[in-house]
Amino acid sequence: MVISKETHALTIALHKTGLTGKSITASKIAPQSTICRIIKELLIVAKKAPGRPRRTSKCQDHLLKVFFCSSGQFTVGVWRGLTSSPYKVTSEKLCLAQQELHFQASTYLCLLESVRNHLIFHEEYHGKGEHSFEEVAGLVGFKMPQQPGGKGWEG
Amino acid sequence: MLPSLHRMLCTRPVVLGSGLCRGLCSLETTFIQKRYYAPPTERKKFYQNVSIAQGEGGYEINLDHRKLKTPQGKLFTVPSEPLAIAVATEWDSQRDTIKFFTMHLTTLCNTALDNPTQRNKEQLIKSSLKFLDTDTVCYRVEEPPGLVELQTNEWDPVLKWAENRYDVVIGSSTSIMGPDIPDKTRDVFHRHLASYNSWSLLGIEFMITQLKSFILSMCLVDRFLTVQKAVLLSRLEEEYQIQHWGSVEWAHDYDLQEIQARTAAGTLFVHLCSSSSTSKHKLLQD
Repeated sequence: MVISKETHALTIALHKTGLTGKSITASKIAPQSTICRIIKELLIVAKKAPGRPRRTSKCQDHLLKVFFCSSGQFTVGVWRGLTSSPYKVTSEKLCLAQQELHFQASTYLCLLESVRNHLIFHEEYHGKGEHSFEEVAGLVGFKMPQQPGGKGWEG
Repeated sequence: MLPSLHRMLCTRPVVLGSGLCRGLCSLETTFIQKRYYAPPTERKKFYQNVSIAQGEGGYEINLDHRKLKTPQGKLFTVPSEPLAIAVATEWDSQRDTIKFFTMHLTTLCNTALDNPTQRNKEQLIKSSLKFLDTDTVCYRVEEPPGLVELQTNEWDPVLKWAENRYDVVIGSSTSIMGPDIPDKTRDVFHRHLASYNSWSLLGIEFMITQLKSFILSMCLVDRFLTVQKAVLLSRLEEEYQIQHWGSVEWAHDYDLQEIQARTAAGTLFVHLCSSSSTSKHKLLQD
């Protein structure tokens, strides 16, 4: 799994805050684990060039930055770890309270996961249109009657 | 069984007129398989890159070098940057075809911009408050005992929280007429909803119609419950029946994921639309 520079840096920063790879995925401490799961979800739908691993797109990095990285006390710590990042935490952005940030992250994760699962079910179970009379008759082993002269009501 | 019936009726609107009409039409045009009265749910992907741009009216979405428009042809602009980015990510996540039914945030923005039902703020508030009369968490059963206990244990704390938070009386009922909501409660909620802008109100109404509960929606707006928990509480009777009779993937799980996705989108939409007003701008320094 290869991710773009920024997201990679974010993950490294998460490691630096004292979380191991295992605990990042297993930890219940939001939003560190939540953000990692969001990145994972984003990677699933990320564009994949043939023969290359998936990588998060610019748009997705931007999302991570704006949603979770430029606001909140937690993320300030994370972004201090990103010395090479062109994005700096400024006080102009609204600083969401920690709890609000957690809530927003988990809501967004829920959206991504549910949409993906819903799509799987949708493709499996949703109707692919309607059958014609001939097909329906065929399903139960019947045949539609042949009427070469028409049915009489076509006008 | 009543709340569940109520829920089913609400979730599955059957358009009798058009169904009948289609039935008649199909007699004549047997070979036509498409439903012409419904807009297409998918479309071939016609762009590569998605980006956002700051315009006069707010943030716009660019698909390659074309500007995104609403179904009614208006320019797609949203008031907050995070919302624009979330919408852009939805477009960016589409692979070979654009699946509109998975793009809930885009849909909500389109509805807010186009306002196809031509409703104003007052009408939005009224239609939201209407759900209070038949709120899922206020509608209780008398049997079976297991479900009664479950409803009491799970719904009472939520109801109590709402009553304390807004300093109102709501109460629950086992009658088919539902609980008697005092006028004062209605006034309080009306005033509270009036403090939101019309975009947020649209999101709140959307959440309410997913959860079939005004109270659970307010719990989400106030960040008292998580989306998963709110959806679970909304589907409490279904979950109880699933424990007894087993889960049917194409009905229960499908429904769950869809409601969860829509509720999460609604919650995010409300928060993103109402939070921009609280951001502070830094004074220029030199």
